[in-house]
Amino acid sequence: MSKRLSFLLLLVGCLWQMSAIAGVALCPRDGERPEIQIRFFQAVQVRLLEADSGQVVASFDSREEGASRTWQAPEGARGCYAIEAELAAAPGKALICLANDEAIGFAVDAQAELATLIRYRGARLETRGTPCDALPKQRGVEAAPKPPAAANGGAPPAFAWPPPRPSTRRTLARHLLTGSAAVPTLEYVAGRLQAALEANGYVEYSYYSVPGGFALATRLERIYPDGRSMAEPKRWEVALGPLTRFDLAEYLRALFDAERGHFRIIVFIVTPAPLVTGAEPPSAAAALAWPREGVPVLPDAMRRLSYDDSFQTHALIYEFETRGVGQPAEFKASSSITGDAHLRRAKILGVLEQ
Amino acid sequence: MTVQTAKKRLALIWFTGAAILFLFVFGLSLNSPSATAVWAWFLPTVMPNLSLIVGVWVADTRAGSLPDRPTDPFMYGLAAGLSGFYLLLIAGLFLLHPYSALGLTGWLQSSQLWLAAMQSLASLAMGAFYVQRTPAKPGS
Repeated sequence: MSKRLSFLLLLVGCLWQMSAIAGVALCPRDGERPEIQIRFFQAVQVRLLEADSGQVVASFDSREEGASRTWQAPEGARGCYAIEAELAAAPGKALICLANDEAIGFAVDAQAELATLIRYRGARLETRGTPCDALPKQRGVEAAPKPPAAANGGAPPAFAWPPPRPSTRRTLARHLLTGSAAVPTLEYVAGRLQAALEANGYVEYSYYSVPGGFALATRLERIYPDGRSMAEPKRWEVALGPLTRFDLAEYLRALFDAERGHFRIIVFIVTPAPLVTGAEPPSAAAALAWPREGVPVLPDAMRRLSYDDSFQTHALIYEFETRGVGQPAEFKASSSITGDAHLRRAKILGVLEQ
Repeated sequence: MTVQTAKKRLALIWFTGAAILFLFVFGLSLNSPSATAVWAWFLPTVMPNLSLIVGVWVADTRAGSLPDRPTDPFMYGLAAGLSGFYLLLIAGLFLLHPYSALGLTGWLQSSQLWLAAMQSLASLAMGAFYVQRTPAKPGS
């Protein structure tokens, strides 16, 4: 009898363990903090659970407008985090996972369109139970259906509201955006901003919707500590690389590991709503995705809106710093120069003032 | 060359080399976010050999003034050569790290195995040199 009881208890224990760890999990890599960024293509709910205890630590729902879709494990986290995804239309229906070394996708089956794509950093992927199928590297951007927001006439994806805390900011004077237009529209304002950006090499940018207006995010660029943009191709390199030629000053900086990488993203927010930025800074992964996750042109629905006196345009500057080759990028909570200096040295203000 | 002179030269090679490297690592630690890791890598690469030299010097001092003897040129050459080469390798690792995609700590860590092998050879040659038994000079 006692043997049977022991066997039963063992079986229950095994099943409990299996239920606790089955599925796909992200485990911290060498003292790094796992970080995820979720992109939805269908109505999906994603849950993040502590793999050991099964406790839900974060939940993301594609139907929640403006909700944060990024998450980073707390400092010192050691345990793994299991990820669950569920279609809103079919709760309880199991989705299969597809994974590679940078992202996990969930879909109804291996050939179906992705329901959601989760990019991860600072973590290694562990599949427990049924292994994930291979996720082609480009599937997240090519094979997945474009979100409806990508259509020119629809609303672009929402920018986080309130926006994440910037390193510094600058509110632009109205005349810089309206120029000589008698009745400026958002299309006109967007045109002026685009022209100022493109004149200075910022040819990749994305539009997002914000309450009553739009946000325009530039691509992450490498800058000098004083705010000047670096020359290409270094300007667009997102990580510090080793030296490839001999330059004494550069060599000495690198020799004493004093090489720092300074990076910047500028987000213009055009809105009639009062701007109060959030308390949390953006993660590097989330900020990196801004220039490619929005739409490249201002949607039709917004173009005809009048840029009346209630509107204001703010430039939010997000600065990141890398301390040496191979070091992770960290958000710079307070820029060493003003928002005005950033815009002036990026030569954007100069064009707007013409 | 006598054993005492050879010992002094070997100590000079090690202390000079280690001092230069020490100053470099000290300069590095003023700036680098990886200072702790670099010190943790650097100290075990030189401290055992420096300890050996100091240990021998203390033992010689305690033993009082012994008659000096001629050294075995091959043993001395091997110990000095391997020591110099080993110290140059460490210096080379520091000087070349800006060209490595691994970053400073990754680059140093990647050298750990083969550098440990080189250190063993240098230490063995030094050990062999210190325990050599050569006949004392006639008349001394």
